[in-house]
Amino acid sequence: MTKVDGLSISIKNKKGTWSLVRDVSFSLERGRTLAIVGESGSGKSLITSAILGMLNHLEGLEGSVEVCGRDVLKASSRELRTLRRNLIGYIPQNPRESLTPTLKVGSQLVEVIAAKTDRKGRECRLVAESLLSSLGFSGPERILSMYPHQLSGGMCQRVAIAMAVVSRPALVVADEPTSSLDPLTKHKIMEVIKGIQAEQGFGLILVTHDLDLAFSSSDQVAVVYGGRLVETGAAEELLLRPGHPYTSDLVRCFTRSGAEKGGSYYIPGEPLSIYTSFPGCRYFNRCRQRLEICETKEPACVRRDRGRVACWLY
Amino acid sequence: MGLDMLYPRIVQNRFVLACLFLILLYILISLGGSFLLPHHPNAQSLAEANRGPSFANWLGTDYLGRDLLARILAGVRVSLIIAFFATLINITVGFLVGSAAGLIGGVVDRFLTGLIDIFWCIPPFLVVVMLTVVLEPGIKNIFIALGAVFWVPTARIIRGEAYQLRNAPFIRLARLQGAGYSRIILLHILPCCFPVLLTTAIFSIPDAILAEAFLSIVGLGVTAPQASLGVLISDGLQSFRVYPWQWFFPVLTLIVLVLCFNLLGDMLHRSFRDRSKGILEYD
Repeated sequence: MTKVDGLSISIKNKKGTWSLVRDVSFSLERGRTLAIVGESGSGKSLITSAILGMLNHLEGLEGSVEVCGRDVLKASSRELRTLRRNLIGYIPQNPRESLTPTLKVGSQLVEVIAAKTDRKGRECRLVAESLLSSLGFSGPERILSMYPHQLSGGMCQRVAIAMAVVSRPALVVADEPTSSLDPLTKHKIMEVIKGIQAEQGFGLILVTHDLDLAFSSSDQVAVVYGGRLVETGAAEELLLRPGHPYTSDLVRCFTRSGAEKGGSYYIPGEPLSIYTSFPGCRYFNRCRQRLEICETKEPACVRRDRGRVACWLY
Repeated sequence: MGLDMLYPRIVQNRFVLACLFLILLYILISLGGSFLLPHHPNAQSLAEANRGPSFANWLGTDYLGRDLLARILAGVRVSLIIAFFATLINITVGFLVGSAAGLIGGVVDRFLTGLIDIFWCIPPFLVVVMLTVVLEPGIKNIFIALGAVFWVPTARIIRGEAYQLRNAPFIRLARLQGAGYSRIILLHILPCCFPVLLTTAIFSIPDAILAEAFLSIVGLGVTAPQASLGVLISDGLQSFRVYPWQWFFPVLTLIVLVLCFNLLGDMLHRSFRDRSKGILEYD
């Protein structure tokens, strides 16, 4: 069980304070998948970094992130190391650059297994082989004796997945796991991740700007805009009946309804820069359903069906 | 990554192959050669002092009648031992300080960089001379003194490398797998710094040999009966006009030895540089 409560991130310097992420709350049961979607610069990566405990040194970090009852944001660096070894797995964005180029895949994987599971040399090798074959490699011994540059992106990603899940974590954070892979590999990798999730039952946070992936492979979807979770809800519900105007615009981009034949639909305007402070809803300047109040006051998060939405329309 | 990739380059380049062969020859002869010669490097025989090259003494004898060839071989051994350990200290300290500064950053980085800057300002030979004066003269203290100043540039280079690597995706992944600093430094940064370290080491060996020679010439080197290339050169210098071979042969040995290491270092440097360009971008 992962619980994020009131997570806010802001940075301060001489010129002022900038709020980058505000009041993010959600919870995720074991075995379930939450997709965090949003466009570039919306704060997805910051939220993930905070969940992984990489922003613990920041002063303007508020709220709590609990994984199995342990608060990540208050953990010391020693506690963080134990947390990352035992409870939190991480699947990187760019698999080919994420494996150390000067070490053979085998020695890296064995090293991680030894560190995470207290096993010794030969045993680790066996674990590595069985893990790789369960992730769909036909000749694990051959893969283990290769360097990362000899593998394809998808293969590197599966090795990284093996590293993430070897200690049977409670939570796995996948930071755009498929963004640097081709469409065929993308589905294969998602299948691998879902397969191992079904076997181990970890909670999966899938950060992506790929709506197709988000809606097809997750139970819940959280939409981020301007550093806030503007809407969370069950995936199929958001797809069929989006609540927030931004969500419905996104879904429309995705399904291309309303676009001229052969054309595509896009949301006009640009998101507000983080350096502009704005008292109202940050989607105000692009919203098609804006009200007067949207310009002056930021909406609170309210319940809608089984999810939550932050919009004055509700 | 490593020696297996360098092997074809070494074999292709005859010149470098010759250097490598000469260095190995130096090492072998200096280790075993003294046993093959009939003369002990420290055995004096005043009756045969200052002889020129002959069948009995191939390179002649010095002012105490000691065989010059035997002394040169013993001297090369001492010089190589000093150079090896000075380089070992240089590489180890330089790598640890540099990688800690570059990887950890923040206060640690500022402290260690400050330390490097301070050491950088002091003339290195001043420190070496002071250390050899304070510590007792002897082989061990010479390489400690040399190691104590040689690590500074190495640390600076390695800090730059580690600083570049600290935000690399693979370091991030290692951190997110719960690896601590020591594990990241030894497992992930060390292999990436291998080319730089190897080149630095090869260039540091001739530096140490020359530094040791300099110390011996000014009288701070190894103690009296023992021979080193520096001691032989400074002894030879005193009777240079009358018995030039006493000076010439040690100098020739030193030049060839240093040249071999420098050429080898140059080749390593060039081949690592070429390889980092990649096959498709070769120019």
